Amino acid sequence: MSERKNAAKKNQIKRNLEAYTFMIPNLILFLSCSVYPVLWALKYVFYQYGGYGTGAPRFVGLDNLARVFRDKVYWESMLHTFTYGFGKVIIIIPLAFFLAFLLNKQKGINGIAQSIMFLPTVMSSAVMGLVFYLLFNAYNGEINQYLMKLHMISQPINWLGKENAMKTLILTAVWGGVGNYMVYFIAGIQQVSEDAIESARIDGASKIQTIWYIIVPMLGPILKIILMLAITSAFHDITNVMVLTEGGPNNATMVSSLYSYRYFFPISAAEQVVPQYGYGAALSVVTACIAGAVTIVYLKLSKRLDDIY
Amino acid sequence: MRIKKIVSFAMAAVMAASVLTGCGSSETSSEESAGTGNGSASQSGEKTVINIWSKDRHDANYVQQKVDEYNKNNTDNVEVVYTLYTDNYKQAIDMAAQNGELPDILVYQGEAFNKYRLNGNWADIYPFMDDDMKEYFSSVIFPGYNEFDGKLYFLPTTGSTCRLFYNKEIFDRVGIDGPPETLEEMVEDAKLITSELKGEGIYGFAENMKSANSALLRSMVIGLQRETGHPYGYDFAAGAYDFTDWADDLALWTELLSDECALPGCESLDIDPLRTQFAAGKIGMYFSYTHAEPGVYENQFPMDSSKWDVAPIPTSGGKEIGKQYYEATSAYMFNADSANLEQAFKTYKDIFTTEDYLIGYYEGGFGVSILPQIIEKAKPSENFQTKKWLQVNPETDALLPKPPHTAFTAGMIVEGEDMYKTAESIYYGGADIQSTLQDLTDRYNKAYQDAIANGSGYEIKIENYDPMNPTMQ
Amino acid sequence: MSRNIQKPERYHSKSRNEAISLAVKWIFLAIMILFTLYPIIYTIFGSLKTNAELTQGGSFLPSEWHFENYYQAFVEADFMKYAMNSIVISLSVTALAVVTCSLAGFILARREFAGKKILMALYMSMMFVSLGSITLYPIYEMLRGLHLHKTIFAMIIALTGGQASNVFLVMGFTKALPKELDEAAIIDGCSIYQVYFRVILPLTKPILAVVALFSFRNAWNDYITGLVMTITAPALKTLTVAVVQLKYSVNAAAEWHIMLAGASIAIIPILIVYLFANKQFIAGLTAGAVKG
Repeated sequence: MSERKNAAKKNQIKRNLEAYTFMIPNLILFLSCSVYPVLWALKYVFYQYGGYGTGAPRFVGLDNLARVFRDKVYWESMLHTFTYGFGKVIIIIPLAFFLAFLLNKQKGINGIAQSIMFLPTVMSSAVMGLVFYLLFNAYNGEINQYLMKLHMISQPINWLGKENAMKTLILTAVWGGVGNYMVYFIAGIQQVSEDAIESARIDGASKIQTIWYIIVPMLGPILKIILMLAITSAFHDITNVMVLTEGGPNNATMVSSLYSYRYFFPISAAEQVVPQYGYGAALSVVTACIAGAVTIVYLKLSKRLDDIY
Repeated sequence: MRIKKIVSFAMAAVMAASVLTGCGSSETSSEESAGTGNGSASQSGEKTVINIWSKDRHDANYVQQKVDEYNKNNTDNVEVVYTLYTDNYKQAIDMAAQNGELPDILVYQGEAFNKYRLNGNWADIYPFMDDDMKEYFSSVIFPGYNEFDGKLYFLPTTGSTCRLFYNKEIFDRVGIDGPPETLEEMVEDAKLITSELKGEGIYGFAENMKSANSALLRSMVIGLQRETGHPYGYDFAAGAYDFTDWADDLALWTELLSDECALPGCESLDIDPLRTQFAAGKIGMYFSYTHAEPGVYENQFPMDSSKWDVAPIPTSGGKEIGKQYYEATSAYMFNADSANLEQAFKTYKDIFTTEDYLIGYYEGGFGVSILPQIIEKAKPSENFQTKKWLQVNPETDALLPKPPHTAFTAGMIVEGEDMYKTAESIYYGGADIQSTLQDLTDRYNKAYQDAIANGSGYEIKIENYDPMNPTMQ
Repeated sequence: MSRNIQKPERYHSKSRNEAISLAVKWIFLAIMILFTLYPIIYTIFGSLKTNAELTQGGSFLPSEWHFENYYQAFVEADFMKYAMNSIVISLSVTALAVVTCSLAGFILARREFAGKKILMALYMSMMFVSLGSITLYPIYEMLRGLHLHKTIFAMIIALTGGQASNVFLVMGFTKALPKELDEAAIIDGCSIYQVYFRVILPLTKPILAVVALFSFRNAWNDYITGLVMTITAPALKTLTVAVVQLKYSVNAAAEWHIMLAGASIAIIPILIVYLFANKQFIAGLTAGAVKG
């Protein structure tokens, strides 16, 4: 009896060992690149530390967190994050939907058009950020030159100036993202049964009516995923902001992710940043909490919508 | 079918990668040994490797050429590796210091010097200097600046400060007869140029406002040193910050940066694109460093020397209470932990302190010499002969003491935006001048007091500080 | 609406409506395609123009084709080295991601083992907790502790990252495979290793291709990780980092044609990959979205 128990135990250990040989390679990466940085940040939230040459980390309790709540620029950057996120969603979702509606049958020219629209998704947002900087700069960017040649404007538009920088940024984000969301919508539309559309057509529904009453409601599940992705991605987009505007002018495009990054590394050449790792950690932890809260609220809301339907 | 192809492609890629990483990593490890100053690696080959880091772009070609010559001709069996950092020099120093991987020799950078001097990272070079050398450079040794407690850390050979650069042709065209003497006048001039020549794409004023810090440190903040006698908002006599006397300048700067005066797109402009536009004759006036611009318009973006000139930074109402700083340039710091410190200094001496080098540097227009022996012998380029304000001028310029936020950089944590970004919130954000400056003053003073209280800083106060004859400590 | 009022004219109006809607469709598509392609075309054609032609603007095709711009970028701006770095790093990241995710995804789908629940919860939670780019600092510190920070391995490890979502992707795909397959293999006396290599690995190829494509894309296009990791090791710079830094370089600041040549060098390889695998990219994205 005990022998059998022993054998079973041995077998169990062997099975566990086997399992962990499969897990280990990824587990090492996961623990060191995902878990460790989070624990690090959670620790340094309570410390003040400026890196080597500035003395040992100093425990400051909740000071850093308290400072986050006093930090006006941070909350403005949070507002910019939302402006950016909503601006992007409001333009991208309808565009992506219509593209998907027009291109969902992957035949001939539609397939080519689909591939073209998806193209920006595979491009580096940093490199394209640089290209957009060249295109949009006010003094000799090509966009202004075209517009002036066509006599649509007489003076160059200051695309990256304080009034327009956020709009320009959103425009470039739309450029980079519309193909992505189009593909999601296509996946959704292809799940809508042909029969439903056909029977609607037989009933004499117009195209617009078909879209509005048949297709859109059936897109519910995929739309939920799409909105979810759009919301969370707004908290992550940092590269294009960094290269195109560096958060300026006067913080007009400073988003929360870039703001906390700034306490670790300077954004640009000329910036004089003394690292404040503890405070930067506090900022990013608060940002992560807000992003989490937004996600949860969104999930709750979308569930309630499901109940109504 | 396609998927299969992709997978086989990916597999091939995996194999290729494993092969390539093999050679890639060995390549980088040799790179690594070349990148460190204090490893045994420097003795591995027959040659001693001396690493020099620089941040300066304007003289990069000249220095590289001298380094190449040295590498070819030196008899010490030394190989100098000269690395140019562009935008992240300070950060690279930070990370290298942290990792114990500083190069042997580094171009002087004020903040890094302050931060790591206290930490013992920089070597005292007196022990390596013979009496002749001490004598030769005696005029550029300033206690409290490069000499502390009998230890010398670097030798400046040129000086740089900030001035107004203006396009004479544009001034002539709109009928302005000379550079502005007050900031008010400057705003008027800028308005005039912009209103008359906007149609041709010519504007009165521009500055590289993309980074407030980079822009203001070559313009307004420097002019304010003369205008207020409080360098960087710090009142050395009182031992406290006071930014409230920035108000006049900020009001004028708000005008200067408005559409009435400034090149459209200033907000997102870097310095080099600005220079291309100035060279193209599109900009009336801008502020920058005297050490950089002549070389830029001779080599980088050619512009006829007769078209531009230099003048002191105008102050509001022409006020002149103090001196403005000049920065010693072409100076090099030495890594105290370098395994080849002695050789490093010898190499430095052989390359950077020969008369041939120093004269060539001045004559080439890369910087204005502050060594009397060189000034006497050299025939500087036309620019330096005809443009008096490219020189460091004792009447307006002096070495200035360091305020707390640069003296113990990382010890003083100012909550909220620094003085530059705060100024930006006024001229671009329309924030109320008085209350914003008061708030700025309070925040800096609080940070200063906190630093003293928690031991990461110390009190800085100079009895009988005279802004016209500033003393270092 | 039209159906009630215009009944008599229905046929006529229908064909007219159709023509209008067709026109609207093609105009809309044309605008969108132009919008999408313009920056890319600008980059590639711009890289072949002279600086003067480029900054004057307004010309679509280069008046003369200046292929020497590429020579300048490759040789003078050292892009050969950076391209090599990018290739080595991207392929290694791809390999590492595929191998580790495949192994972990398989075992999580197919076996119960001690600590699995905790691990699953941890992986799941890390997908939701995102601290952004600041995590690069602790990762860099850790790699420094291991003396890897100046080697190419640092870049590869930091860019591969935790891979939690890819593990779930592979796990989900594996779960959907019929369990009878490996049960049969086990009855035949196969070990778990044999089950993995002989049965599951071949069947999960489609999802591994997705992981590979997206890992390659992300590694090739990365900017911030490369920027941070190469501050003290400039020789390891990748193409994207080098291209963006051209903006601050000695001569290229005013030489847009060189900047665009650099940008083209960074985007053309991924364009070629996309040319051959665009269907897989699109299909892969959907797989990721629906599962995730």
